[in-house]
Amino acid sequence: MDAKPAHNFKYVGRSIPIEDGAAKASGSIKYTGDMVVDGILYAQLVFSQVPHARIKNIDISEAMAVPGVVKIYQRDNSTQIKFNSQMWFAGQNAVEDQELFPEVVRYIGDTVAAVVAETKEAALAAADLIKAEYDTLPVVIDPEEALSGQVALHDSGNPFFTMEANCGDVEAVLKTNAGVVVEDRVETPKIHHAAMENHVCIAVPDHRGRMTVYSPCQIVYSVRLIVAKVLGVPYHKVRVIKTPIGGSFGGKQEVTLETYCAYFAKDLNRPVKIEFDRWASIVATRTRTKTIGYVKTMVSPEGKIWARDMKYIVDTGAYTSNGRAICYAMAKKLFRLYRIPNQHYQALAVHTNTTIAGAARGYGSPQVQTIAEINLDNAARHLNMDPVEFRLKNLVHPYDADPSGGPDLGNARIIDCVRKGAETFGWNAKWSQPKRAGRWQTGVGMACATHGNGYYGAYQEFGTMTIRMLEDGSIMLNAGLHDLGNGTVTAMKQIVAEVLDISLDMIEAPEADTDVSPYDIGCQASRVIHVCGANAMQAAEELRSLFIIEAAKILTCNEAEIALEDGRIWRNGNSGNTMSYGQMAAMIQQKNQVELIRTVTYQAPANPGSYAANFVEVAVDTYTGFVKVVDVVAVHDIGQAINTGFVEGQIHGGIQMGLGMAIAEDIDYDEKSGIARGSRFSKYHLVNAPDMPPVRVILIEKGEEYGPYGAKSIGEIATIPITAATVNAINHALNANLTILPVTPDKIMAMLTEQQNK
Amino acid sequence: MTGYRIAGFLRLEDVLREITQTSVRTVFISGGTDFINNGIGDKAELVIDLAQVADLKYIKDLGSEIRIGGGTTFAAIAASPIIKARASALAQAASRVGSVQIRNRATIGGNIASASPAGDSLPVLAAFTAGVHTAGSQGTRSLTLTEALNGLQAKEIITEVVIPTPGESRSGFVKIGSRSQVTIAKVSLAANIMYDRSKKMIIVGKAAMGALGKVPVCPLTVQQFFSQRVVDEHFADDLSQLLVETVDEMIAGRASRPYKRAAVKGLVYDLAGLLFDACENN
Amino acid sequence: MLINLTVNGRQHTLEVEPQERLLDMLRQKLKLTGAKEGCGEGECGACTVIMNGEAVNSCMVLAYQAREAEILTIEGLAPNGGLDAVQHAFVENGAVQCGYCTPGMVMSTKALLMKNTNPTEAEIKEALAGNLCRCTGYVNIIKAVKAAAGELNGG
Ligand SMILES: Cc1cc2nc3c(=O)[nH]c(=O)nc-3n(C[C@H](O)[C@H](O)[C@H](O)COP(=O)(O)OP(=O)(O)OC[C@H]3O[C@@H](n4cnc5c(N)ncnc54)[C@H](O)[C@@H]3O)c2cc1C
Ligand code: FES
Ligand code: FES
Repeated sequence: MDAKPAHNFKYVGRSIPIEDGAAKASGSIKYTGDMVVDGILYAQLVFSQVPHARIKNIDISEAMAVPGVVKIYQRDNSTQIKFNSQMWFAGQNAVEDQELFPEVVRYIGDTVAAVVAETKEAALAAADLIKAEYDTLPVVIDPEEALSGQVALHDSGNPFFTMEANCGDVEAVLKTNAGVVVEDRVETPKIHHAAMENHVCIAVPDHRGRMTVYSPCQIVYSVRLIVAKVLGVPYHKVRVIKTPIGGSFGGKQEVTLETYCAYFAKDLNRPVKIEFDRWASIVATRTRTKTIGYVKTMVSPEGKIWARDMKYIVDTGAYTSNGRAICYAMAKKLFRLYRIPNQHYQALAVHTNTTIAGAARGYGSPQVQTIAEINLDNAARHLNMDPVEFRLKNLVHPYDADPSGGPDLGNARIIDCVRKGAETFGWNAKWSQPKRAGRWQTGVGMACATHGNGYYGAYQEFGTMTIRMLEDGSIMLNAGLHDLGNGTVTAMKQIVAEVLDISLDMIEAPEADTDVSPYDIGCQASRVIHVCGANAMQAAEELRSLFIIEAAKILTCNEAEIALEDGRIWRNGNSGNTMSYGQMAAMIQQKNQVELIRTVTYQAPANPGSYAANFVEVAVDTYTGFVKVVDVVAVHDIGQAINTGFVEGQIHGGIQMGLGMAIAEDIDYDEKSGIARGSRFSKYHLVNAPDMPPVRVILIEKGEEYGPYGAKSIGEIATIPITAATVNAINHALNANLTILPVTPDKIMAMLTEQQNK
Repeated sequence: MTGYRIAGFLRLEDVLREITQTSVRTVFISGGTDFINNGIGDKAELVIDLAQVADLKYIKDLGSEIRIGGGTTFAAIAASPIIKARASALAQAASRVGSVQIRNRATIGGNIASASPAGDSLPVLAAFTAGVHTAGSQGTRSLTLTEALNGLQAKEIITEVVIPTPGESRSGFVKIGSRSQVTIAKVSLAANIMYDRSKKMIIVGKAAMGALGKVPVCPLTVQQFFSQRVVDEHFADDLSQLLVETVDEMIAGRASRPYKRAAVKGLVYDLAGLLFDACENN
Repeated sequence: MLINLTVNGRQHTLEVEPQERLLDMLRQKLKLTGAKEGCGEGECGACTVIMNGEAVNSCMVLAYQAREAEILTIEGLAPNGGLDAVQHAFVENGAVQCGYCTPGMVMSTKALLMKNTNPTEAEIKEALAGNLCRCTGYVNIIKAVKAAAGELNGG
């Protein structure tokens, strides 16, 4: 435990090490790929090598001859049930256009067939021998080209979905021709989540006809829903267990391998494992949604934003997945950061012959806010105004309403973030520093961001937890938790420990298992700390009350006279005579015949915003286009950190990821062949240790009414502001307006060459 | 799994005996860092592991030349006091190959045999006009780098790299990739020069660019330029100009050309920094 | 084909396939699953082990090439699932999130500290350049390496 004393708190707010840290550091923790199951079979999917085609014929004869092959699956001998891999609740309105083995393959990486064999090697060898013949179809890779609808991947056409959101009257304001109008087109790339653990799953059938699916997933109940659908069985026939996960970032939020694995396991009545390699994880799972934004912002000469008109082209890849849901999610964020009286948002969602897009840390929020924040810097530039000053004139204030009708913003402390960050970063001095000639040009940039805290206001937002005090005083919190490596379990224990005043080692909080965990919407929508944490807190409080009520009976006193501290209980004034929780719990069982158990369903009453501002300094090599990020200050309004170290860890990692989007990462599909150029780590470069800048984190902890101990979300917002801040810094350094992300050295050099030729 | 057999030896003579005796399709593996990724063994019947052949691992200073065993790893080359002192460009190139883990396995022989245009040792060896010694079932051969890169015979082992060091020279290697470390060169540059420090003049020198084609490009124009050239404030720009012309010539029409030609200036300034400023301060 | 080697101080004689990688041998034959496969092409470092005193990517080494070698894996750093100074520093400094990169990171750190007990920040970054992490942004990992070095130097 660190030395920092958290005000008023004993457990909350401290940097307690992650609970499974020793298991991970010793290599003893078993991830799904490390698990051993007797008699297991291995499945290898056969991926389409063409971007769009009708399958004419699949020749499996050679593959079948490989020793050890058990069965080869393709459309003819498999289910043709349709599903949508991002559905997470029963009755959700989602376009179901995916199948295990489609008739028409729609991207390189689509599933043509699958081999199940006794060994992984046999499955691989046989898969290599399967030959598909195709009737090729026209291909569309560029999302703007897709808009014309000339190439449609599904009956829904292209664009397959459009939506709008509004406040005020943008058109009327634009017509006045007053103020300054600044227009930009900004493009964000398709990005690989790059969890270090590739996608993997194990399905084990049993004698009852049930299927147990071991999956490093984010939403066990979503996996259950979709697996049950594909198997054609009721939900209670499927058990999903969340296994230790080697990172996800949204990449394992959707149901990908689980359907295949369970389907084969059921059909063959044997356990089956599927493990993707990096190529398949990049090309054949999900990506961040490529988004192209057209933003038109109208500002008054004094720097007030009057109106903003935005059009986003949302490329969801070959299947719909979350292509609709993400348009709604994107819209919400854009009305909750600045006081913009008139706004119009339009999203046009298209299919392209590329990898399916899906959930990705921030769920569209990084894309749209990056686009908007780059445009805002340009607006400031047009006004000749310091971008910090410009933003401060327009940012939302605590308890503002959402002009588009969403939930109130809560204790929105973005102005504090910007002020504090600018000061720590030394913004004023750095911003106004005169440019010097020379090879290296330095620049500074900043950007703001907001993100949500759960689904309240959009979908049902609730969960259930059961908490028990066992006879020895130890605690079991039974909940559908999914720790993604960010420390969820430890954080939940900290909340429970704080309420019950008991040490962390006396608490267990197992992760989600659909057989035993009560229902929970899962680890998504930045809901876990704010909503699940509040659920845990309420459950612990109810258990505490129950404990006190029952203890008062034992001690024959008033409930108000009961004192609890550090795992011991006594009657006030009688502190010489204390009992451990365990002694008391045992006595309550014996004498009162009561179990200390509470089940609490928590319905979130609010959805406040989390806020952040990042400040970045870059040095750009104008001879090579290389960008060195020199300094980052990240300020986050998180209400209250439950575990300060975890919060910082999320921010560090979020910055690594968002920097990639700014300057390096792009799966990058060839327009003709549909081949992903960035399909391996040798071709898809993550920021590594030498290029990672120092990060100074500042937390604004001013509480939030409904958060547990005031806590708000961090995991997703952590990756949002850095991208635009970095691009803004590059543009400041070069006096440029580079807007096609990632801003790679070749784009920088092309721009500089053009500048020179002018 | 089907495919090759594998065998390994501790002495070169045993390897040579094996390849003379065997008639099956044979390939080698050293560090394996290209072998595994490039599927070199896919069509082979026999793979011979050279990684433990002790007499392929050495760095010898013979005065007028340095000899490096073909099985020497880049980690060993980067750390070698001989290389650092007498062929610093090679030490620099070696220290920028891949990551620590890669350098601990990857060998100079493998780098040459793989003949990837982006091989980091290659422009350095070209700038030094290094020779490559081989041994095979047909006996030994002494090749130029270009000959070695254009194709070894079947079952031919790179036993030794010979770096002529006739006098005291200065050398440097620079590359540009997409990250500062663990990155394949998009374009690279090495130079080896005789330099008269008191006159600030290059007496004679050679430069080679990597990642433009199968073999490093050593423009004659640059050799002429280096001859009796005073290192003045125009030096880097003049050299850049010559190298830009080289890029234009070598990869005209290639999509990668605009970037490579633009980035040449950065390479040249970095190289000049290594060759002059840094040394001057000693 | 039989090979002899020492893994974490224990001698083994193992039957290996010519194509088998050191990583496969460790994970499948010896059930040492600490080393992970993140890319299979030498780029991510999740499979890093120490071979004859040097950090190597076990996905880039054939099992056969490890004959007579001394291999140290994450499981061999401390007895009975305990933690050595490096592992301990990783846990205490928030260098472990999902943990998937951790065994590789720890082994690269170990290899560094075996040669250089007092590395600079630049040397640490270079030693870890071949180990990717998506969770931590390396910030706390570098902190942990410094802490471990400090610990090994007597605190
Ligand atoms: C992650 C990663 C990063 C890399 N980064 C770089 C980089 O920055 N710069 C760079 O230049 N390279 C890089 N490489 C490529 C590779 O490491 C080098 O080319 C290395 O020098 C190959 O040597 P090796 O000993 O590993 O060769 P191997 O993989 O063992 O063999 C490669 C080929 O050479 C043949 N061969 C090997 N040794 C001999 C010999 N003595 N005689 C004849 N033939 C032989 C083999 O038969 C095979 O065909 C990288 C590779 C990886 C995986
Ligand atoms: S798995 Fe070996 S380096 Fe990635
Ligand atoms: S801790 Fe998750 S990849 Fe490093």
